[in-house]
Amino acid sequence: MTKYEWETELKKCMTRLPKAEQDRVLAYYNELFADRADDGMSEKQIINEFGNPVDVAFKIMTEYGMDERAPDDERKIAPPDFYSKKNETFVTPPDFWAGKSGKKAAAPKNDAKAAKDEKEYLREEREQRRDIRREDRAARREDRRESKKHGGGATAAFLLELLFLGWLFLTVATVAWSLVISVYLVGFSFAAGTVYSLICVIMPGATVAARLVEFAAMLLMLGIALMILPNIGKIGKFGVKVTGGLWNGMFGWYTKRDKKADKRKDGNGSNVRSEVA
Amino acid sequence: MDAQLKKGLLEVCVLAAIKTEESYGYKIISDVSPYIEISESTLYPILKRLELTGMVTTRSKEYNGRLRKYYMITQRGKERINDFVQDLDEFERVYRFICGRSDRI
Repeated sequence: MTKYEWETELKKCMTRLPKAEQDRVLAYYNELFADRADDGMSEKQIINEFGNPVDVAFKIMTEYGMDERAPDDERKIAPPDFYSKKNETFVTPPDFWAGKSGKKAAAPKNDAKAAKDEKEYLREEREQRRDIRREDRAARREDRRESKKHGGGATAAFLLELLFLGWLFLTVATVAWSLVISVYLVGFSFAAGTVYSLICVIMPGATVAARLVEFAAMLLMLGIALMILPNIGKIGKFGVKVTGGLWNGMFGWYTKRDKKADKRKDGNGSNVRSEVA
Repeated sequence: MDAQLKKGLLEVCVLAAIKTEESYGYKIISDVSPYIEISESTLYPILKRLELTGMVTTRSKEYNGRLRKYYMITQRGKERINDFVQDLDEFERVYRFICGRSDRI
């Protein structure tokens, strides 16, 4: 049984269903067929998996409350002999079978009908696809309209929030680093002042009182420089800590949100019970 | 397994299969079939019912030059899973009761 035969059979069994529902069922099976074919299965295997179209139609009709199934001998459409021909192989007869005259056997008249049916089937399939695409485009248009309606305001609010946080961060970070750099400058200035005072102390020509004052100033500056310079690393770390903490506090939620989304994407949802609990 | 019981279980299994991300017919069958027997003809009515009751929404997306229908769970669908998980405790009590009674027979 080919896909075309299977679908034709299914269609025949669903004539009591509304046309839209018939189309939906056929689209559903078409999609499954294509997915299985993409997975490497042959047409025959897929049809075998789908099962008897009469049974498939019956299950769908049951959903519609049309579950009164006609007994096998009263059915207008005979169920196809689906499983008995599993191991049978069909060989196309060679041309010489047509006879000694060499004339080819005439194609059975039914072939023309089958070709017509097939054309009709393909046309319907094309129409179905066109309908689905049209629906899809309409849905996308609707989505865009919705996002314009609600999404525009949300995006503007988000950008404003980001702008405000960015401004706040820049301001606080600038103040923190200005403080750090100021302390560095004070440390280096006192170190330089110490050297200058030392030069003044040892310079010839100065009075003893001036030398004493310079010496006292040198000691004071040396003390301050020694308080600051050995702690350069710690002061730098303070600046980094303040900036980093601010960054995490203000923008951490954004990166955390992305990570959470990735985690959700990675999860396969197999342990549903524990997740729900 | 009893048909009615299986029907209810299958509904929740399908919802669980699309709980974390949207999915399509073939993938749902592949995800659910290792745990409970499900066929294409069984899945179709379930999906239809879930869609009609607002537990699932759908959208078509192009894949490999064709359209594929994707199913997404709604808040109502998630609530259905939660209800089912809560019902399990009650089910366990009834199960124990049945087992206890059947042992006496």
